[in-house]
Amino acid sequence: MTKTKYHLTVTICLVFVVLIVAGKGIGADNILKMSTTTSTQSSGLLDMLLPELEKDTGIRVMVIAKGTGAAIRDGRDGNVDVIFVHAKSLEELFIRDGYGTKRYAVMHNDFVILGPKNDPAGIKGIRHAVSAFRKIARAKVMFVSRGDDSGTHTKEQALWEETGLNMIKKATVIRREGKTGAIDFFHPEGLGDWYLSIGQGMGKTITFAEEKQAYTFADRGTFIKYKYGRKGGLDLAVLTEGDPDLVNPYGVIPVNPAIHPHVKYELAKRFAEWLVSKKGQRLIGNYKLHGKALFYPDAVLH
Amino acid sequence: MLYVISQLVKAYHDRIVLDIHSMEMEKGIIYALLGPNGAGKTTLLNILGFLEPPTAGRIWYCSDQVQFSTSYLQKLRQGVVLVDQNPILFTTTVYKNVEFGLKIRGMSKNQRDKMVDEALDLVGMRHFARAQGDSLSSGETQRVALARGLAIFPEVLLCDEPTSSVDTIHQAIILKILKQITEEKKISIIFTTHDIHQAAVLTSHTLSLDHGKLVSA
Amino acid sequence: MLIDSLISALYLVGSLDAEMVSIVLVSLKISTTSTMIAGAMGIPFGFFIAFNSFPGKRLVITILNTLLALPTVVIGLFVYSFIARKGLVGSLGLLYTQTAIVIGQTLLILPIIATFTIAAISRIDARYRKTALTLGASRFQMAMVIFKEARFGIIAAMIAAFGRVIAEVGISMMLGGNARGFTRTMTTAMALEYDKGEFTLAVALGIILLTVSFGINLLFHSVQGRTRP
Repeated sequence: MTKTKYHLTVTICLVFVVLIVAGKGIGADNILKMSTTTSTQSSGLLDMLLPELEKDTGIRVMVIAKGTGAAIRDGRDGNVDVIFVHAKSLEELFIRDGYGTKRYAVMHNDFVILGPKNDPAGIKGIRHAVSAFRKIARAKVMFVSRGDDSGTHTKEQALWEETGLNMIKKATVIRREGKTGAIDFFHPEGLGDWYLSIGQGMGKTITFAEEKQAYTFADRGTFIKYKYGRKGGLDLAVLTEGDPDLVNPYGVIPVNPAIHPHVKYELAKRFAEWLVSKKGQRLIGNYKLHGKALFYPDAVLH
Repeated sequence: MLYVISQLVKAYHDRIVLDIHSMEMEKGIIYALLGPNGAGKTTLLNILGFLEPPTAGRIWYCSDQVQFSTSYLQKLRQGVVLVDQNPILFTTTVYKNVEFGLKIRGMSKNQRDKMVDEALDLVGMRHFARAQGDSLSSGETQRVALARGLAIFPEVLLCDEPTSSVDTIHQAIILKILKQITEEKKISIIFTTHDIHQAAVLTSHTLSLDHGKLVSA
Repeated sequence: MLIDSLISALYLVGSLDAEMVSIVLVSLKISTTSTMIAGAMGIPFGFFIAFNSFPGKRLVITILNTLLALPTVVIGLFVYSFIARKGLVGSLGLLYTQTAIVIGQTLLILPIIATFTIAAISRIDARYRKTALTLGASRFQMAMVIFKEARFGIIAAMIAAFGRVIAEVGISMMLGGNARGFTRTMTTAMALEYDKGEFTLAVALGIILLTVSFGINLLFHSVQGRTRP
């Protein structure tokens, strides 16, 4: 090898060594592993909150976002120190089974029923979500469902069941996060007619509904993003909102050190306490997505 | 006595390639190993060069019996060099090619320079020192391969058909080099050829192989 | 829509956006590390296989060739089962770290490096070995000669391996968790941004990734072209 080539090679190798050594900082004691849902991450709330948290407490949070079920399982398996999800019944089960210590009620956001501006089913003004669903079914106007076994889809199905309409069980295969799985879901009569189940994420479901000028059930965050965050906006309107049934509560639960002794329990507790503190709650309440409020603080501050 | 061979047999699977009852070679002499293609000349050279073990039989080199174990053979190979019929040069300069044997023996740069120059002079390729090995003609390649083998100053030089793949001008040059090596440097040479006349030019000591067996010349 | 994203993306790249740069650096760091480690293990292994004959050699090579086609999610799952808390080495807390990704990626490219090395050595003229030996080389010195002669093929192996890991997403996602600021690589970030429906950062990272891959490929072909046929 010529001299210059030799020196070049040595320099490159040294650069690599430096790069590798430089990044060895992980394993530091103030790092908290947290699992949460992809929609929570997508809302942008954490991008605003976590730097504030670090400023106040010195805690750096490693956010691992997955589907709700996977996020909770990471807590059960002890792969993370704290979970931050929005599936109250599953969270309560998590604690009952002993994997979590305490559920801190942090905040809630809500779901909305979207539809075409001209509202062919005539649900505008109906605050009661279940009644609105019933009207849509009776009118047999097109409704697009996520059909992907997500938290939103689960909530949607629960509302349909409450309508008293005849529900049909269907087994299907869905692909999510690159993995294929078989699920059962319930739907009112009319699948393929007016009720479409497309097995997609929220964003795609909304755009599909817009395309077809159909009704759909969405979380407010994604709606805001698509209506106010995109150049083209969204040609759908919020027709039903504000029903307590539509509330989507979030909980933070530290993983139980009795089951997983290695978890950073003190850090997790401090994290949760910061979230429900005056400052944390204020920051959450003030968070705006494209100028619109998204989360409502839940911690009772007395 | 340089080589003494007794009951040497070399077989590949069921085919017997060499079957030599007894053979002796002295130091400081050029031997021509004659025979048609397929007679087993290359195989014999490989064995004499300690690159291949015989299937059966015994060999003495400089009065020591040869043990065909890895480390022993490596030591012996330090003193015996084989130059292929179509030698291959390393992908680098002529100089570095010739230097190879000296470098692996741990010689200093100054010593190496001296010996490389000497070897290249011997084959008349000094001015090619900076040339790339793969840019040479077959005759030039043959000469560099010879220089490469000579640089380490071996006891024995084995040449497999040193002139069969080169043009007539180079043939004469190479024959001259071989003669010079034995006379000036006292290196023993064993070369193979199927050309009796060429053999005669260089030496009167000839051995003939036919179908793996030694025959009277 | 694609044009819009493209323009904003190019602007993002040009302005060296801090988050984008940190994501790129994480990718480079992880993939470089795994390539180096896999090289250190795979090249000697390939050498050993190429040089020696032993019973079952053919089988080993066949197995290596089969491993070439392993999907990243399979490797991800395999490593996950070891390093998750309930796995064999769970107490090391390796899941969701850069080290975990390195482990997975190294496993991914070991077969590539080994098979390329074996191929590179097999292409080397048998006469080199004989020549080195007759000039008095030890087995090690002879192996070095072969290594030098095969160096372009071996370098090509390293380049191909790097190209494979810089662009993979299955292992990075499963073992790294795509945590911002910690284990977010170019590919996992792109997957996330796409999921979010926000294309600017995804396209920007895509441009960089394509450029890197293109460069790697060019490099590979120029180096590979220097090996003797």
